[in-house]
Amino acid sequence: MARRFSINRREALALIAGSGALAGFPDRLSAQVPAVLTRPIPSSGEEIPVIGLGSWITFNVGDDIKLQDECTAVMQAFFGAGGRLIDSSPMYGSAQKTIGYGLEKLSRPRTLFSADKVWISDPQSGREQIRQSQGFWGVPQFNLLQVHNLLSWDEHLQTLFEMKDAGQLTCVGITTSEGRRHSEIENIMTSQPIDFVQVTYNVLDRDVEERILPLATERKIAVIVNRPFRQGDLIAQMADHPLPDWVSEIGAKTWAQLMLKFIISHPAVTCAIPATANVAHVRENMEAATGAVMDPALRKRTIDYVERL
Amino acid sequence: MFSPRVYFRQIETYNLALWPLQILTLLVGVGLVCLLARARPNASRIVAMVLAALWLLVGWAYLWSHFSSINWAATYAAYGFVAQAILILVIQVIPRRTGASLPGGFAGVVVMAVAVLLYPGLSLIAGRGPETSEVFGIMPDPTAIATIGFLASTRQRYDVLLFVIPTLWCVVSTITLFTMGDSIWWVPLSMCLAGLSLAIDKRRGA
Ligand SMILES: NC(=O)c1ccc[n+]([C@@H]2O[C@H](COP(=O)([O-])OP(=O)(O)OC[C@H]3O[C@@H](n4cnc5c(N)ncnc54)[C@H](OP(=O)(O)O)[C@@H]3O)[C@@H](O)[C@H]2O)c1
Repeated sequence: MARRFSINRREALALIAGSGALAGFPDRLSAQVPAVLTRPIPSSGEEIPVIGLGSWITFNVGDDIKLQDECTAVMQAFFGAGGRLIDSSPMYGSAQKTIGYGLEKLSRPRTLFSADKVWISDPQSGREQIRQSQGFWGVPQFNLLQVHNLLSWDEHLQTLFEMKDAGQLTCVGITTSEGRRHSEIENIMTSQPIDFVQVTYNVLDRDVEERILPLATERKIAVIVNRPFRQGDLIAQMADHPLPDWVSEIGAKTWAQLMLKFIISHPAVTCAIPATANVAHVRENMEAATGAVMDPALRKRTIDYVERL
Repeated sequence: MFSPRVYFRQIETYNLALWPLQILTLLVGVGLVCLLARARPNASRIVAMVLAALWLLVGWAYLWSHFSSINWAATYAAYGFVAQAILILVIQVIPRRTGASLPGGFAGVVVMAVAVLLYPGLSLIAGRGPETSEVFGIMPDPTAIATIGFLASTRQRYDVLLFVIPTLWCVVSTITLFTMGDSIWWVPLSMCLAGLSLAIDKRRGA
């Protein structure tokens, strides 16, 4: 059932140990990094855990130190559970600064896979915005830069490809959400040598199964899934209903885990990026990256069950 | 874009940073209401001058220095507040002919009094406690609504332009509170509409 289950405990231990934490964020990472399910980025072969961390709303906390520390605790639990990919954007208020603050407090875990975006209508300002974002994160360069919501995508993609060629960036991608502009996304996936595409996908929003996910497999493009919980509404909606009895077969204990297992069990999906400001939730979400995933029959049963509720 | 927790914690921190300036702006607000109610000569010009200063203060201290850290669009709103301050000066303060009180303009003064005296209590009704109180001259909503009340009680050439930015702000504020599921989301827009309808009514009658 579980696909490409690569145990990266030793590697993660090596990378995280010593990258530890400062006062207030005790270093408990090294002893507890669990094995997590990973998938390769098709264009580079690099393995990344199937669960990442979003930062829209949850990490937009302004200059509030108490809340920045809470977000740091979330990041610490995320890295501690084997997480790597954090996604943000200049559009997300102070989220980039919060991530930079957290990374600094956690002594800059070397396992980080930094995924940010360029989001500005003037193409000439793209590089300047990227420089500013790097400053907020405190990273010399990003692992992945995506054109946010296809804004001025043509020109920004050229900039990102140039940066990649110059060794200033590892991967290039595009994003959309909630089913917007899918035909344009398909055109770009077909015509441009992008490494990543980011779309919305969950048990109720499955448009991308039709064309985008198969196209990603065909074109060897990694897929990041946003809004796995419909910004929390999906879990709130399900909360009053019992979990189906087969959840134990895949080691899911909660609705959040069932939702995530559904997403990551699609063979074309590389990584889902739920956002949270809650340490217990990030642990729960990361646990979905352990154990088995669903086979097609179980995926079908999950859809039927959820749609009936 | 931000959670209610972050939004209201920021108001709390901002209020704490400015305390006890709230008492002063509240007293200033009461003074302005009295001045308008008693229709003293030059009253509208003095009130307009103070309002212009408070639009600048709110735009800089709250929108620019605080709110913009969690909402990039607040930077543009801050420019709007500066523009409103300048417009008030140009339309209400600089002209030699002072604004005339409108017949029945007292209703506008009541709207202003409600914005000054009752608006800070709304945070209690919403179950948030006094720390997130929105005080006239410190926070945008009561300042915008009080301005609409003032405009509904006086008349000056081109002053219709002065309704635009406060009205837009009240719409934005209501949408923000609604999106966050706050129980008093309807208040800014309702008070704004009350002030606007009074203004239209009085101008038709004048
Ligand atoms: N166009 C784009 O590029 C685009 C568009 C949308 C999203 N995104 C990216 O995708 C990320 C995820 O999407 P999203 O933030 O819109 O929504 P989401 O991840 O579907 O949902 C986030 C909400 O789910 C709640 N949650 C998380 N884990 C939970 C758990 N285990 N149990 C119960 N509730 C849980 C969180 O609340 P708590 O804080 O209480 O846990 C939060 O309110 C974003 O943060 C962003 O990075 C990108």
